[in-house]
Amino acid sequence: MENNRKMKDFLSSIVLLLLSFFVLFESFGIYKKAGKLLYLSPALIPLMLGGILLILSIVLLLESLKDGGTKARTQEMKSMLQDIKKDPNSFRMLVGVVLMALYTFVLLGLLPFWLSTFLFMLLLMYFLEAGSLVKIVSVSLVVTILIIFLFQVCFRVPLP
Amino acid sequence: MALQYLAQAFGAVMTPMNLGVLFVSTFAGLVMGMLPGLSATMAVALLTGLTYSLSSTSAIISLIGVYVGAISGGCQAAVLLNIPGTPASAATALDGFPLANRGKGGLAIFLATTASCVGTLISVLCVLTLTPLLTKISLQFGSWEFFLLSLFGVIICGNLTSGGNAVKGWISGVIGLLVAQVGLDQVDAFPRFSFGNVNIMAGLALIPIMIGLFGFPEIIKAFRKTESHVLEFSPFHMKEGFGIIRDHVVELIRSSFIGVGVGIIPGVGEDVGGWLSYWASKSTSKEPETFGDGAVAGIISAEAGNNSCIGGAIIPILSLAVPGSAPAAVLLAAFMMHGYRPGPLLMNESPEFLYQVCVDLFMAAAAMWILAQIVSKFSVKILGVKKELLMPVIYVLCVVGSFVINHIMFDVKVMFIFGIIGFFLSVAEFPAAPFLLGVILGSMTDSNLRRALTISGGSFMPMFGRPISVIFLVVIVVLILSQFHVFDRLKKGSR
Repeated sequence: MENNRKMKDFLSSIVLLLLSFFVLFESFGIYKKAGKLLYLSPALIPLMLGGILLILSIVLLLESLKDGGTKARTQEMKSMLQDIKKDPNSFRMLVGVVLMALYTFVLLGLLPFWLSTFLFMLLLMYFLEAGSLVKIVSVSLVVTILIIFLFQVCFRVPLP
Repeated sequence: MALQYLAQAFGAVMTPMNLGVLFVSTFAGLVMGMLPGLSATMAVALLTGLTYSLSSTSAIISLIGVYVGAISGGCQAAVLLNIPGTPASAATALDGFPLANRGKGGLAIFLATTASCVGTLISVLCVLTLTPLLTKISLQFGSWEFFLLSLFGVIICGNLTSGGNAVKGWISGVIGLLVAQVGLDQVDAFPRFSFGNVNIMAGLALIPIMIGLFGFPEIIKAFRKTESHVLEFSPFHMKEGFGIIRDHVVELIRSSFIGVGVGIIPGVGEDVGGWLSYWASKSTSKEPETFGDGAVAGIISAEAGNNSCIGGAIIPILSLAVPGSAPAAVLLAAFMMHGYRPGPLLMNESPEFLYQVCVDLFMAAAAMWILAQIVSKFSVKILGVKKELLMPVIYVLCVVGSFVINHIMFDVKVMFIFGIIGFFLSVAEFPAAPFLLGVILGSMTDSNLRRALTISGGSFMPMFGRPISVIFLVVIVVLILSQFHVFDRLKKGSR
């Protein structure tokens, strides 16, 4: 558990290091563009935060490398990836996220709200084996109608 | 004058419409809090968007109702399932579940909800008395103090919510502060991190970020297949329950005050309040060995502690515009969305608002207690609802809740992206509360530091010449050094 945590810290500290470099680079660009003294510049706080993030990421990285160093962490990462591959829940979560992304980025833009919502709920509930097909269709239909009635009719709020 | 405001506030809640709103939202909060995976923050964040078209009075009533209901509702799952409905009820499960296993589930839920109700009522008294005091102090605040207050908030929140590794809490807070820098800056309207995108230039809206951070990860986690066994609700005599409460009145009052104290600390939420109260009762008990094995004092302390945090968390919102917990952060955003300006000037600009919030809290606590007694009879059925049916519906509500604020699809996409970020933060064990606090306090940090530096001509020296600033600085330095065990090393060195 402790080592697993160290592996997570190791991985996240590398991502955070990259993020802090990006923030510092962008903030320096803002400083140049704004052309003001640093204490008056809109880049002041982003530069400070980028610097703090860099320091904290290094601290996290160094802590994560205790007991085994890079070699041990890489080994743990490999075994974790294998565990994720084997775990059937990972596939359920991945497909769930893909369906939510599909609804958010594609269906809502292409189809009317009622149709995309109905289809999304139907697909996700079916994939998650939430019950019989009749039950899933009825729940999706009733919830879609309820949401539209509550927001568009009662609250008079526009929906996506 | 105060009595007049209180009477007006009671009058506002007592209209049939607002009473209906109060009971419906408290019920919704209880149910959402009861279901593992739907946290209080998520409940309040979802409702903030959904109450957009209500009048401000009704909206505030419903938000406070759902907040009180959700924090209290978590105890039912903790007792009957041994899974806390919300993180706030984690300590309740330690003694609630063993008591339910002995056939006293009904009694455990009664004790928990009664302690929650009393805890909230005690916190109302604290809101009434402490808010004007803290407001008076906050009127002494200048730019340096507000800058340091926001830093203090992020640092202490990082310390107390990170589960032992404060660096991760601080990183979470710093990322939150960075997110708040996205868009046109408040001083010069200079675009930062917007990459020419007009939507990003307008800044990232708070509510979609909150819904994403707190709602989305729970939805994804609920896609896992899990088995749980719900214990049956067992009948009991209310007289017995009230007798036990009377016998543990000291624990109840002490826990309520601990909860209020924890609630006042920026970003530190109801879960910490529950655990600290539980720990205080255990360590002062004559029979500490009974804790963890169905001790009624444990249930009472944990629930009084977590619910009294609600009032505590509202105190810094009203006086400083700094939220005391994650759900309170959403509440702050909701107050702003409905036209209120919490902060040092609130008592001058709209003094009636303090009394309105207190009366809403009082009524919500009463409504919660009544509803909890009814709902607990059906808890087994509610807890048996398949999450595979529930979660797709919750996601649609997340989409609607994010959209209705500005009526743009961009906000829905922001919610999704921050949901993914929130999920990875949760997997990598970074606390989300400092992140949220950072997003809220980011603009305060930026504008106040630059204003202070403009006045001082770029010098940091004035910060060391102001008493309140110095206090903040000392506390911040102590908080940081304590995490690196500097004081322990100094102690060892002196021996």
